This record gives sequence, structure tokens and C-alpha cells, in this order.
Amino acid sequence: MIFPPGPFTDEDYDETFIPSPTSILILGSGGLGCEILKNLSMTASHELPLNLHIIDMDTISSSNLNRQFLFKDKDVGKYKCEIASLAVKDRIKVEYYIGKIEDYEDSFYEKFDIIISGLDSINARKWINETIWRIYNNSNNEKSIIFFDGGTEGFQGSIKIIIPGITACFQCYRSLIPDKIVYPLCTLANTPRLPEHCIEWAKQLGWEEIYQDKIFDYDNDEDVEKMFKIALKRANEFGIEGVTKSLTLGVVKNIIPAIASTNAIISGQLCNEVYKFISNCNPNMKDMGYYNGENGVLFDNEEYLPIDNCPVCGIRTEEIELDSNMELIDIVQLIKDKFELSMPVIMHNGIEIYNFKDQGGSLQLSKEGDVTIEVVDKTLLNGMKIRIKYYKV
Amino acid sequence: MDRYDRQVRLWNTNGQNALSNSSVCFINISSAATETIKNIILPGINSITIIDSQSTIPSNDSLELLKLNNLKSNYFYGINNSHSFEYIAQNIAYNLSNLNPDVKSINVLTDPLQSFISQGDNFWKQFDCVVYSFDAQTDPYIDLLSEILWHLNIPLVKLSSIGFYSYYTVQFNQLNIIETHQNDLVDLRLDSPWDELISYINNIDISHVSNPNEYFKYPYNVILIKLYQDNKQKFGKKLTTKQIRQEIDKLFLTCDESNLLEAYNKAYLLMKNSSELSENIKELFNNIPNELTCDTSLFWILVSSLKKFYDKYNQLPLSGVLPDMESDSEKYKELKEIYRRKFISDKEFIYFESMQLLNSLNRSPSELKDNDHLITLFVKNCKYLKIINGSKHKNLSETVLKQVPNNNNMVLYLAFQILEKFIKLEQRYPNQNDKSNLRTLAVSYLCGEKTLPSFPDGLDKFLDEISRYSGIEIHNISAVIGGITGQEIIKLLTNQYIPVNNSLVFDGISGKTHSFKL
Repeated sequence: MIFPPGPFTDEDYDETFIPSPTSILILGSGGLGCEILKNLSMTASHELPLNLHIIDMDTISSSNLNRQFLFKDKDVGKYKCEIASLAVKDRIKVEYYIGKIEDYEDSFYEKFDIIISGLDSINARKWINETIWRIYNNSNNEKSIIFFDGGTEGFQGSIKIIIPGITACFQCYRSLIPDKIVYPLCTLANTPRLPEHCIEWAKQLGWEEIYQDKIFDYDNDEDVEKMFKIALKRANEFGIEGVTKSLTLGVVKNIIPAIASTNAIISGQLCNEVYKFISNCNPNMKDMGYYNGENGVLFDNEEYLPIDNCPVCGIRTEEIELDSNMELIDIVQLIKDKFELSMPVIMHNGIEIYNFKDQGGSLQLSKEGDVTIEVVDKTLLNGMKIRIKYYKV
Repeated sequence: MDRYDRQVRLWNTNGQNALSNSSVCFINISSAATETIKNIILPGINSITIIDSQSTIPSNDSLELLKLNNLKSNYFYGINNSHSFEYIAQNIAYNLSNLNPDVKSINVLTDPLQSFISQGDNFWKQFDCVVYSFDAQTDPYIDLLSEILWHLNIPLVKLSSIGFYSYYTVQFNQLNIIETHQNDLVDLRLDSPWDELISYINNIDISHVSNPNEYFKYPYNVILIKLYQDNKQKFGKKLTTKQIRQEIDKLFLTCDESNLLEAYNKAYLLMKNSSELSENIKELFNNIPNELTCDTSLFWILVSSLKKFYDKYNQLPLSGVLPDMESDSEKYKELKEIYRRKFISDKEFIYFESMQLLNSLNRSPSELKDNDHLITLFVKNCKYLKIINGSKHKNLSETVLKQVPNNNNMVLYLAFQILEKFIKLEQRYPNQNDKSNLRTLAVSYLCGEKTLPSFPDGLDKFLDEISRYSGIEIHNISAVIGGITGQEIIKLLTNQYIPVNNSLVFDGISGKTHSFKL
């Protein structure tokens, strides 16, 4: 698909320009991953060359089949990313990696231009976010992997576009993500009232009483059945109704409802943003998109600003006093000593004024008021920045 | 583990049963329609019928060639086995058929649409929903179809996708939704406890307790009702939230009685007037048919009984749903039981009242007798029942011209209307050389409607953008609108959640949907 310029395209858009192949890594080959892989394999073309890679550690189970359409009943038990890659092989070649994302080093992730996530775990997303930022900082802000993140829950979903150095990072969104319900231990132990209390008790206390060292495996149907029995016994003791095997599984596995349609909507829009980003044929939406289909249909997006004190990409503000006669090199030394930095890069008004590599640059101290500079250094936690306000004395 | 485990948690077994008994018809196959079919096959629809007469052998017709090319950018159009099918819809049906073994059939009908329209109700009543993808050849027959389906009260969906844009509209006569899933159904009835609850509370003394453990036992609603009732008797007037909180303060012996803290925080719930009807229910009562007949749906029979209940008790039936409350297991159970018994007796009232109605209409009692699940759902959800009145597909294009000056969200939909006029007129899609043609067409179309004062803001940009595409469907956009359509069909078939009424556009450039009623 090559479209001539339109009313919303950038001035520098050139439909005859064929970009060099874009390397894309898809994280997760589940509900979102299957859709993403299908969409990208339909989007790739001679004019828009894509190198696709997919990573997932999971095998296929039958409860996946209501939405993970690249898998059939006969595939149950096989590795998801392998079967998914085979399913689109007529259209495009896909490299697959069986394993945890945490098993791979920065040198693996550095190869990609874009990472698209269809993960179901918050921690895995946090991990890849930190990795992307570390690669960005270690390359002196040169290697910027664009991170497109999708997530769904029932009829709702969200999309984040994350560009290192420009947008908020995944960690900045943390406060918007609700925490898991935690039941107080005293309630579980002494005054259970809900079926959930009995199941949570079985998980935290009851299982160990009976099976000691055997670790509970929620993917093993026999184990779920055993856990259900323990919870049911507890419920009967307290006269609580409503403990079922389905609820047991829901609580112990922290199951989030998932349907084909929401996955299709979120992945479709995710790949649409990727397509616009690479082809430049129309502008991207704002960083944070959200979807709700419970009451009518709403898809909208808005800007989300980076959080100043974000531990991954944020800025910590420090104030120091300086002698007005100090040269830049003295100021750098002071900063290095004070914050124990070895390889600082210093920015002022968005312009680099000092780089540890060439040690050059100069800073014109204004006569009045305070000056703010930003310091980035590899040794700072996850590339966090320090903003320094200094006074002259 | 069950194939449908992750979705049954959203629409329960009754929703799943509704899906597995439903049959959906698709008129014209398109990439967006194919995506929609995938999204209802996976969750377990009963059967699909596709009406499309285009053959796989390329003709010289430019619209047919375009349709074939667009379909080839769809995952379910088999590129390697296309030679073995006579019709394009057969190719798609074949590739969709192995997605879910529970789906009974995917039929392909290749006669022209008009031959099925001329069969009338008898043909169409086999479907629970009909989905139409825009196509210039079949479009003239859709108004006839809309009439048929309106009278059968079968929803008619229309969708279309081009470039970065797509839209969805739906025609239905009236929806009666029991499970909207918008509320948690909790009904504490703090302001007006019933006899059994009052006598339970009267037997409790919380004023002279020296052992704080006694307090830990009672859930907050018992504490609140107790204080409220005692003070009403003592002072002959109702306490404010602030006064109630002062009373609770006096009860604290230590500082961490968690149930007292909860009572303190929830004291405002006492001010809720539980006999007041919501707008939803007032509208519902106003819509009860004047005369109940043999054909009146069970829903309206139940609503009539519900109104009788309200007229008699000045309250709606109790849901019996209690939230978790800090308390002793035993006391919580006692209270839950009291709420449950009240729910059962309220439900009995609705049941017997409805049975009498059925009897007076000479209808079979088995309609309700074998349907305990429906009555339970109805009574549990009775505060949140919702009726939605739709509008006829036929009138949509006139309505959009009337409403568009006041609603910017409709401009993209208007652009689609102009696009469809262009296609029917020219028998091709516009390309980048058609910018001025499209605008001229827009002006002549808009001038026909005298209420339109000026060219709507942004319409020219949408039309220019559409002319970039030369009729090309982008797969990502088809995936989004196919997802939305699949979801909306599921809401209509399960009769759960709240569907779009009745139009929606998706703008893939801004990444936004806009919904409106035409």
C-alpha cells in the first residue's frame, strides 16, 4: 500500500521512498500476539519490508482457543510461538524464540527497531521497559527502540506508545494500573466470609498443611482439583456457599477474562500505529490510548507526560551552590564528586554542553537568576536524570 | 480446562448458551466482515451464513477486481488453495471453518441477494442477526431488507472500511436488557429495613458492651441500621450523616474495630432513599404495553409484575446481594441469610404475579415454570433493567443531514455517505484525481437539504483523505472494526452489556471512535 500525500501527512512524506527493513520483536504469542502477528504479516510488503521475530515461553492450552486463533485443538501442548510462526509462513518468514524475555541480554534486544508487547504480566513489561531505557542510555541516547504496548481485560483495553527520551516510559504509567486485591491474613485465618477467602486460605495456608513440600501448579488440572477440595472443605466448615472449581482457578491463577473481540480491537489499533510510524503516511495518535466496550464503544487517546521522579526515566532535582567564577570543567568535577558519577553527559536547554568522551563544551552563566542543567550518566539507576539548579555565590 | 473459560467469566453460562444457539447471516464478504466472523466463531456461535455471488475467476469489472484484491490482504483468504473454489466466499468459509469445531456450519449462498429478499420473513427469520458490508450492487435492496428485519425484530448491522476509516451502524426495534453489568447489584436497604431484619436488629444490644470483641462481630450495616432506628425512636427524627458518625465515635473502645471504622466510612449510605425509582425504571414502567396479549414477551410480563410489586410496597424487590463486610463469619452468614430470604420471598411475589398474568392470557405456565433462572436474573437485576429504542436503517441518511450541523462527530459518517453515492454513481471508487468530483458531489448532496447552513467543518479533509485510498481496505482497520462489530453482535445475541445505539465511526488517523444516534 502506497498512498499519495494527504491532508494530514507530514510535509516531508514521500510515497516513493522505500524504507530499509524494520526489525520488529513481538513479545508474547497469546491473545494479542496472534492478532499482532496476523496483522503485521498482512501489512508487510515490498514497499514496507518487515523482519518479524516473536518470543514466548508458553505452551498452548485449551482455554487459549477461544481467542488465540492461530492454534487448533491438535496444537495443545506445543510451543505457542513456534505454531504461530508456522501459521503465517505462507505470507512471511518469522523467527521465533522459545523462552522468557528475561533470559535474553541487551545485545539481543539491541537488534530491534520496534518492540511490540502483547504480554499479560506487569512485571515483564516493567522489565522490558528498563531494558529499553538501559540500551538507550548506554548508547548515549542513540539507540532508541520504540515500544508499543497493548493490554486487555474483558471488554477493556489500552495502548501505549513509548519513545525513549520523548514520551513517558512504562514505569510512569504505574500509578494508573490498579493493584491486585489483597485479603487481610486475619480474615483468611479467623473470619472468612466469602468463597474467595476460603480459596485464598487454601492457597496460602491449607495446601502446605497437606502437601508440605509439593509446589502447587495451577496449570495442572489435578492440582487445581485438589486445591478446590481444600477450599471447599474450609467453606463447609464455615457454612460459606459458592466455592466452585472455576472460581478456585480464577482466584489462584488470578485469571483475567479475555475475549477475541477486544484482542482484535487493541491489536488492530496497535499495528495501525506501528504502520503509520514506519510508513509516515499519517500521523500517530497521542501516547496513551484506551478502549471500553462495556457501555457502547469508546476508543480515545491522550497525551501522558513523563513523571518527574520516575525511577526509570525520571529526573531528580538537586540544588547546589557555585562560585560565579567557576569554569565548566570545575562545575563538572563538582558534580562528578558530589553524585559519584564517572561518565556524565550534561545538557542545558536541550543542548549537550559537556560529554565525558570529548570533555569539551562551555556554559555561559547568566548574570541573573538560577540555571537548570540536566545530567545523565550510565551509573545512575536505569538512566535516571539529575536536574541541578544552582545559585551563584 | 474449558475452551470458553475466559469469556464465560464475562457473560456467564446463559450468555454462552445464547451464543451457541445463534445464527448470523453476512451479506457480502469483505475483509472487515471476515474479521467479524472470526470474532464470533471463536467464542462459539452456532452457525454462519454468507450471501455473496462473486466468483474466484477475475472479471473485468473494476469493483469486483478491487474486492478480490482487498480480500487477498486478509488472513482467511487462502492464497495457495484459491484455485479450488468457484466462489470467493467459499474460500473464506473453508479457512474459517477449522477455527472452532463447535460451530455447526458456515454456509455459502451464491444466488443474488434479491432472490432471498423476495422469499420474505420465511427465509430471514432463521437468523438472529444480519450483517451487511456495503456493496454498490446490493445496496438498492437494503431498504427492503431493513423493513423485513425491523418487523421481525432481528438486528441489522451495516459496516464498511476504507483506508484509515470505518463505520458501524445497527438497526434494532427495541432491546430489553436484563444484565447490563454496569452495577454491582448490592442493595443494603439501610433506610427501610423489613420486618425480619428489624427483629434481628432489635435483639442486638450494642450500647452496653465492655468487651470490644463483641463489636468485632457485627457487620457495618447492622451497626448503621441499629443506630439509625434507635435514634429515630428516641428523638423522633432522622439523624444526619454527621450525627450518626458522632454516635459511632462513642462506640469505639480501642481504636481499631475494623467494622466500626467501616460503619463510620459508609454512614452516608443511610441517606440513600431506596424507594426512589431511577430514570431507567421510570422509562421502563412508562413503556409497559397497554394491553398484554398472547404475544407479549416474558420480559414485559415480568415488568408488569414488577410494577405491581412497586405499587404495593413502594420498593423494588431486594437483590439479596451483600458485599463483603468486616465481621465475624457467623454473624455475616446470619445476615446474608436474612437478605437471601427476603430476595426469595420478593422473587416469589414476581413469580406468582406473572403466573397469574399468564393464566389470565390463557398462556402455558411452563413458560415460567421451567425458567427459574430467568426470574432469578430478572429480580437480582431489577433496579438496572434497561430498554433501548433503536431507529430504522432506512431513515439514517436523512437524519444525518439534519443532525450534522450540531454534531461534529458525524462528519466522517457523512463523508462515507458521499463516498457511497459516488460509488453507486460511477461504479468505481474515487482516486486522487477525484478530489474536486467528490466535493462537487458533496455540495449537490448537501444542497438538497435546506436545513444545512454551510459546508460542515472538516468534511473536505475527510473526502480528500478518502480519495488517497482508491478503495483500498487496510487490514489493521478492518481488524479494529471487525473486532468492534464482533463485540456488538455478542452483546446483541447475549442481550447483555449495553450496545452502541446506533452508529459509530472509527478514525484510524486520530485513533478515536465517535458514537451517535441517528
